Amino acid sequence: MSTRLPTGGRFIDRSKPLNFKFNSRKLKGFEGDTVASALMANDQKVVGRSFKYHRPRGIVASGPEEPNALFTIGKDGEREPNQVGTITELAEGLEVKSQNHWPTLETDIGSMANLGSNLIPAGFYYKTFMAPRQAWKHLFEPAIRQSAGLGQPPTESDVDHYEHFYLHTDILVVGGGVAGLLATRLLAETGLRILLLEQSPNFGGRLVQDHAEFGEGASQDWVNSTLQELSSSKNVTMRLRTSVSGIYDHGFVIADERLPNTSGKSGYLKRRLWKIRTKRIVLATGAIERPLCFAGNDLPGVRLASGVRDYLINYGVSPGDRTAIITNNDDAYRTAIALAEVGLSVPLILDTRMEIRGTLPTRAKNLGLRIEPARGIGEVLGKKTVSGLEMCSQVGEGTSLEKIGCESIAVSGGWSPTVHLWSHCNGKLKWDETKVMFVPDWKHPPIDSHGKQNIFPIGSANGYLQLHEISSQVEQIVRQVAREFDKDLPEIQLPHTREITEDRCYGTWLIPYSMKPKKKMKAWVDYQNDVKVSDIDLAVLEGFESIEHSKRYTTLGMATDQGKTSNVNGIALVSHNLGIPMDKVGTTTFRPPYSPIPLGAIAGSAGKELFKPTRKTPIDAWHVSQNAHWEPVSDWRRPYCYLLEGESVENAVNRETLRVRTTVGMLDATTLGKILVKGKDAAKFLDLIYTNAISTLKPGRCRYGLMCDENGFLMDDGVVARLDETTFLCHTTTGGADHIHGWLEDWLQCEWWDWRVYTANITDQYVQIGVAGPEARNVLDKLGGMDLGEEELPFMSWKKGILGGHEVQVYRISFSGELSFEISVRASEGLELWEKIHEAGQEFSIEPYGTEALHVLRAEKGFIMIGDETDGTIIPQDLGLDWAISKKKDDFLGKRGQQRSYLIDPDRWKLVGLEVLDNDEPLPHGVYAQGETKNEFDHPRMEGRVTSTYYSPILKRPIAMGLVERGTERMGEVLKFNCGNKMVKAKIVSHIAYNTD
Amino acid sequence: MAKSTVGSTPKLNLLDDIGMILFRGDLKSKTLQNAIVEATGVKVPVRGKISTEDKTSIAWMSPDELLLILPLERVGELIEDLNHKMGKEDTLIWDISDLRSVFEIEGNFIREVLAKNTPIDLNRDKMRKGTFRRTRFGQIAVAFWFESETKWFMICRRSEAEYAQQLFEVSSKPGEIPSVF
Amino acid sequence: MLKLVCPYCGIEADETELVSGGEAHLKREGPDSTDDDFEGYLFLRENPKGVILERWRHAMGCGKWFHVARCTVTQEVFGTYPAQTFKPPPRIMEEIKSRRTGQENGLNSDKAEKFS
Repeated sequence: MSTRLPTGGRFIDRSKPLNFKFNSRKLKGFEGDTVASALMANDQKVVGRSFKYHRPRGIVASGPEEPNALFTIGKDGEREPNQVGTITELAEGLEVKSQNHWPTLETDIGSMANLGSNLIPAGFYYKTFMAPRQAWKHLFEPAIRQSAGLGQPPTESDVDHYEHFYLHTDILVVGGGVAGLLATRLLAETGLRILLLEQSPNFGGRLVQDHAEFGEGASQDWVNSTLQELSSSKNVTMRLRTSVSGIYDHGFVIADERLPNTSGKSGYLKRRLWKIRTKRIVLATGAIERPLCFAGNDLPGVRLASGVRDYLINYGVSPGDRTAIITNNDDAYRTAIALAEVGLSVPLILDTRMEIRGTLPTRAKNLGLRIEPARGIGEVLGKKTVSGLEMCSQVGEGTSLEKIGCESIAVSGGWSPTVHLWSHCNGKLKWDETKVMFVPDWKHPPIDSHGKQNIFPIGSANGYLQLHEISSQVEQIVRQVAREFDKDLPEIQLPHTREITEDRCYGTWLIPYSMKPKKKMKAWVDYQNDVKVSDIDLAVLEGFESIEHSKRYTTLGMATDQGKTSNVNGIALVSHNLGIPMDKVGTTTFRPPYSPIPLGAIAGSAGKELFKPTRKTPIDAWHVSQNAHWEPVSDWRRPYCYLLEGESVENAVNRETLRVRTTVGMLDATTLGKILVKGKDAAKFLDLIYTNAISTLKPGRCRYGLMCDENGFLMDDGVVARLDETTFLCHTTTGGADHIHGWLEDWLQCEWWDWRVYTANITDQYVQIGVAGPEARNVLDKLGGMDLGEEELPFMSWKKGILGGHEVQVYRISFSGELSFEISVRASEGLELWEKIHEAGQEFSIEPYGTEALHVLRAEKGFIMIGDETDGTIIPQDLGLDWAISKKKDDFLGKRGQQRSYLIDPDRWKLVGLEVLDNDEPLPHGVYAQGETKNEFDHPRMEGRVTSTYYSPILKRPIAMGLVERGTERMGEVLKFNCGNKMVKAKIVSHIAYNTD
Repeated sequence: MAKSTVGSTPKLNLLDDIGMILFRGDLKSKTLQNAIVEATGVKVPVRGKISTEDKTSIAWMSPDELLLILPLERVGELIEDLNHKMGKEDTLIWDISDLRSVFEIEGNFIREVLAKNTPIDLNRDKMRKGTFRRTRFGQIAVAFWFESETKWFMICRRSEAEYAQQLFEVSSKPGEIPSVF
Repeated sequence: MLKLVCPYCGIEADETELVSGGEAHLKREGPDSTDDDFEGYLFLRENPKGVILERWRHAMGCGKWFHVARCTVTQEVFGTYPAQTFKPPPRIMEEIKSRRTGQENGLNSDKAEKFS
């Protein structure tokens, strides 16, 4: 039974009790507890069920390496699945739920998989894929879906907030343990900008619970005085609860900060994602303890020795009255000593090594603890939790020598430096046979943009586990880092400590060495993904010898903990099986994130209305007041139509379309791109940009122009107005403005850089109002100030003037076939002029029209729309726009591309009109015309498709345009369009449906 | 140790009646430099800077582009003057007073609020007085400069002003702002 | 996440302030070009394992295009330079040479010869 001790626990504040709920249990903890420490204090042994076999699992570790204690935290819109209990701080009223069990944590039907666990061997998923397709669909998939998986994703919208924070620094120190603190203190003297990030809520790492003294006195005093010193350094920034999740190219680092909910209310700032740019990184990420592989090592009550020590000293939690220790190194004796010192029983220390000589074992022996050398665990006893163990000879097959009763087993298989971040940007590792660990290979470090090493591991992350080695190691490396900034560290008194002789760890990968196959099926390597020793044996046996292959075949290290505790053991077992050395097996690739980051943190503030910028015109509020039904057009929002009281969208579009055809309508055309092109060479330049001639355009006149890319494909279209001899205003599509401006600049900057041309994207400077319909001129005449008569302002011309008291440019252009003017006015006056026109138009029943009416009007006249008739593979010739392609010009962008054989093929699909024969329904968008013959794949041959399709209220019938194979030569032919559930017949007609003159 | 603040957050105000002139040309040309200084009383800024005299500022936008910021009522006359002074030299001078929105940011922790949305180095020795920095704010293009630690300016496209305001508001919510600059 | 110095602004720009534009120093082939030359201009790109000369635009800044010499394997940057040139300036070529003495991850030999 694990319980809270009467005293102790340096992180908890016993004067501040907290209430929380685990499933239906109401429990109590203290401020400073993690969810895991509070659950242990309440004797919650089983905290979850395993991924595949639904085995009961308990807390194993005390840090982010924890594989089992994954919970769903919070409720409703705060709910987050798969939160790691060992790093989640307890808070008042917290709701914690266990995962992956049915119906309850205690009684899980899925654990029957346990009985037949040999039914889900390594490569199970791949093997089922090989089975008949029907078996997967009806047998395996439903079964796996029912049983596999972790927490359920929340369905509610997240009520909490997230943000990003960009920070530039000279040196980032990752990890606030003894090495990180010491490094920061040394570097602080240089005046360089230092950022120190610590993932837990406390600085000090393992220093205080593992070592009583450091430097002059108590280790806690050293931590406190160092922190005090650093907090007064202006150049040092320190953040707790901030986990570095990834290191990327050019010193870019992502760190995830968990913010405590100080208000206790929902809707608080939950996470801050730091986006850091740093010149150098000092990696003080420490090391992670490895478990050992013995039968029954996944039973709740089996924990890492360091974790047991942490719960005892940091949180005042007893792991159980009797704790047996199993180890292959000296460090685990610290746990034994700590337990004995608080008066708990340590019935047995099993040490797999033959000889035991270090200072710590001697101390344990002096405390009267029983130490058994060369012994291992044959099997753990107990059904749901540990009740004892069978001792065996380490070199044997596991025969029980003695049964020992205990509630808790503390395991230490040695330590692995936390090298993940070193490896993210290609830092290589090497196997250190003496230290029994993968350590950073300084000959192959990660490098910065100048090719220089930019990550410097120190302390145990660099393979130095002994405290007495740390000071000089850290100083030496940090001095090297400072020198790269031309800074010298001052000579200072380094804190030192008494040397403790720790004997070397011995690589013990199987306990016992000749473990029997049946036991191997109970010996876990990866707890979270349920990978056993037998699975790795099988993977190797089936030929998956590369570690990258056996990892994927067994799923070793692929869970949310990314194998923090299991990777090295897995590699060792592959090495053991193949009989090749560890460094020849190598490691799998470490990739970010080191610890999972919630999606909310990645999104930051870019959620809901800030997901994407919405560009709005100055008339936007007016549109809102007129009940606009919106359509997103690139980043803009534009009225699709305006709904009258109780009106359907369809009826609104028809009404607006007819309004333009019969009297007059007005359109907010502000979003159309407006690009100024000016200079001595502007005309020559535009002749190359547009397919038609622009240089022949006279000032005061407008011309419709096409732009193609170098493939010859139609990219954008619009009206060009010549303002004066050297100045042109090029209109683009709404979505094309930024792209076309960039396109023009690209050619000017990178190809014709000696030409005298300047461009400017002035789209937002003006509001552009389209007034179209037979009464358009009469409306504008009412405003007064300008003669807009046929002679003064003929079709395809423009002029400046004062209209209704506003300085305007009026363009006589039309996209509807009706009499039409586009009036351009400075944006700040746009709404006023819009309202004046609306007012003046009242006697002609003027109405605003939206983008859909605009589309119907242009389609009735057979005008093409970029993005409808074009899709990036269409040349103007396909659309019958040969008239807009100059035959005289030697060159324009796209001319060479259009000469290619495929594009001059007479069989290309050409733009035609399509008249539906059988019914009054418009053709669906994008449907294909199916020919009589089959293609080379024995599918019906397609001979055309619909590009634009609408109901025309003026013609009172559907209209459509489409691209049809040799379409223009096939007038009158009837095509069959495959509309899914039926074939619809349509006749090829002229693409101009309305007013064909 | 980073301090936290509660409540004291900067405010964003949209400025009215700001005149702006787009000026593209060869910034190295003597004619141009003289024309600018004679017409505005402000020297052409060096790369990455903004120079200000009285109510007129000139910002360096690119190697061949300046942004003149001045009282709106002076724009028309100044454009005429500049065009005249530039004579036959190639330029593009245009009234773009309505193209962009100008915001004034006032209060404490402005660097921190901006740092939530822009990837630039906002450390005090990097983003200094006189610096005119074009970058992004969230997902839109902007430029920043400042008069004092508690008074900054930001410009963005007019159609994106609402997004800029909303993003600023979210980022400057009273609550924890880590004081790092 | 790259960080490149815009040669026009003289500032380090974040990758998110930039837009990439593929291989640099392509020669435009116009209406009189052969099919092979045109294909090379339009479609054939080097995609080297090693040093590439490429185009970037300071889109969220001055709006100018510039060129970068970058190693596609290590992400080392050998320098940036304005786009108004037919070949990289000597300082860039020297920087590449000084850091790429062996064959591995260097500039393709045709290019090295052409631009030296």
